[in-house]
Amino acid sequence: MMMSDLQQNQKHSILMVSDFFYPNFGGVENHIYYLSQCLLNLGHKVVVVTHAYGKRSGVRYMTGGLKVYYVPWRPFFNQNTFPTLYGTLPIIRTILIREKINIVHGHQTFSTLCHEALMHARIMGYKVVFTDHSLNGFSDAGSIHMNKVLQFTLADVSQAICVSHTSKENTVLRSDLAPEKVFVIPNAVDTAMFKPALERPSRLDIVIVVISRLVYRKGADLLVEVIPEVCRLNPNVRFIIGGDGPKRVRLEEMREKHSLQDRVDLLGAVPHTQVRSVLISGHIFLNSSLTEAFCIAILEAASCGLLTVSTRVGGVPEVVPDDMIVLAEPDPSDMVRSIQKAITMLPNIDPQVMHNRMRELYSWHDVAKRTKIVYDRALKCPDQNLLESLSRYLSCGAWAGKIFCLVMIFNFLLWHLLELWQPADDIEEAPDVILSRNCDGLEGCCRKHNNAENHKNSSDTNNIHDKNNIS
Amino acid sequence: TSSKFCLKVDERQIHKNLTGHSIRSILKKVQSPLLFRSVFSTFKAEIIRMVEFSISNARYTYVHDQKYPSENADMHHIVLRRSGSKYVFVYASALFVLACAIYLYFLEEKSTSLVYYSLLFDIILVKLLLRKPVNKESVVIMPAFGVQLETHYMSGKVIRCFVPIDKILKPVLLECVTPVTCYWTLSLIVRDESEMVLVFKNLRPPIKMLVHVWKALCAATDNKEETSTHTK
Repeated sequence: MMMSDLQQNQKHSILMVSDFFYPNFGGVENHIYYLSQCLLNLGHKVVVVTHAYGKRSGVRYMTGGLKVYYVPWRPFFNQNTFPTLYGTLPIIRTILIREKINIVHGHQTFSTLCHEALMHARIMGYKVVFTDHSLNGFSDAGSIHMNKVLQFTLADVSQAICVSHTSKENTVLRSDLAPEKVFVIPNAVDTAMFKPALERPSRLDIVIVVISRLVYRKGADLLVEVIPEVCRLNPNVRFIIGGDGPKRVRLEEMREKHSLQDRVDLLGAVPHTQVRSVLISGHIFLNSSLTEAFCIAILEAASCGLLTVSTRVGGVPEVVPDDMIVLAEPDPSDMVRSIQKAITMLPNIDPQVMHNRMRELYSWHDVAKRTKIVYDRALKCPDQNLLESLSRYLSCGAWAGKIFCLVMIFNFLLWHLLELWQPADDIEEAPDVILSRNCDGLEGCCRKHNNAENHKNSSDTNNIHDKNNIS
Repeated sequence: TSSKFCLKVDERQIHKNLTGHSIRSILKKVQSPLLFRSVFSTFKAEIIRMVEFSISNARYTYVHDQKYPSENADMHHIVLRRSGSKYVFVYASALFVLACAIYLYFLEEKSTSLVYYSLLFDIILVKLLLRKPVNKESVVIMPAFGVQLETHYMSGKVIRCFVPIDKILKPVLLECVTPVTCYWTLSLIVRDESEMVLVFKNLRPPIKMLVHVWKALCAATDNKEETSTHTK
């Protein structure tokens, strides 16, 4: 009993690695930010490593004392760092030693920095956790190669996290990972930020809101078919479309063709801070994605009290209870039918009740607690030396297994060379930062759970001035 | 003795509470040479420590010079320990390249231009890796006046840079991230300039040495603020 209490209260030092972080906005970026803030609130230490965004390079501190390293590696494609296999070894090693990290948490399959960092962390003996945020295919050339890379990274990972059961199935199939190692922790939403409007918009005009990137994956082509039909069937329906992308031109053409200029509003790219104000001006939220691991947009809409109509793809059915969503096949006629059904359901919807239910169901604080359980499990994994890990890599494939083994052996040699060139003792530890904790910036997102816990922890970490009194 | 100042010596108690500053003030008041000598011999160890405080590691030595307390100049030096291994490595690799070129010329009948190119490459290599060796970097803090930053080269050349005290807003310790490493630097935030002034421009001493210089700079700039508010 005593042992498990001690383990429960053990504070971790976590390194989050991804190519996707602030100042970019998106699902992965928000996930990392909110999860880090809630972990900091629980008393753990969190450091984020990402690539430099333009002039934003070096060390920055965010709310709550979250330290972010913007490493000056140039992104080359789709915000990903140029993959050099061993180029990031020195800086990752330096950061791991100076911040006294004990767990490395990588995010997103499509982040090269994440894969490289996880590889280096494994070779140096750290425990590694990986979170996958999206679904990916199996058949096209790009997917096949990406899946092989994923198989390499996950061959030796301590634990993995997926955002829905569908996503877990997809990840396990793509990477041959043992299902026992994968946890499912859905994303959450900041219910304090996404509150319904105080005054419901009038129901004389029914407003349907769409907020998504206008790309093929998000079903922009479906919208082009669905909108004219719905407008024809219901003269009192209006559409508000927020977001930008290559398919915007098609939507504008559709609008011109059917003369819907007064009934379809194209807002362009909506900054994240204004998403709520766009959502609360509507009654129904329409999501037409063709593939989705977990749709945070639906959570945001439900938290604002909107009824959702969505395509039944990926992890969408797992997101909200059945009375808050109407599902349709990704087919224009089925979607039109679902929208009609949703319009008839509208009088029975109370936004405030919906919001309260969402607040009970989803909170980032809960995600952080569940993630901590994953970290505890990862730390309990036995330490492995290089030979044992190599046997796992060999099983990845006839040719691929041997290539992976060679890559890891070379990495191991490089690591030892680096230890000779710059011994670990030469790398000084960075002082930990303590900020006075007030929840103004985080309102309902991460409520301070246990004051006593925080005070107990401040004796472990040093004030930046005290640490400098090195005699 | 005819001194105006009579010292009650209780060695154990005084050893515990005495700082460099108080020893200095006591010595100033003592007029009789005999008494001076006895005080000096009692606190010899502390007095020697006052003159020079130093930390060193494998690459750098930090020296805090307090030889001239009356002149109000506080000097901090970072001295680079010369490691022979770097020179040995560079010259050995240059020799190796030249030897290969000569071998190819004599035994495999390649043209002489190869030897010339290898010589050129060697000269460039040596110039790049061993250029402008810095011996020492110093910071001289003159409170109420300014801070002088000096770079002493091995050839004897000294480059000095003076920053007046009212131009300094704050000395800061910063972490700098490069594509391969992360290290601490000490910089001065200067009024009316967008760039900060690096205190140690060529050397990268460890944080435990930088902290002492930073504290001294903070003390100097804070004092300046206090005096300016008093006069106002």
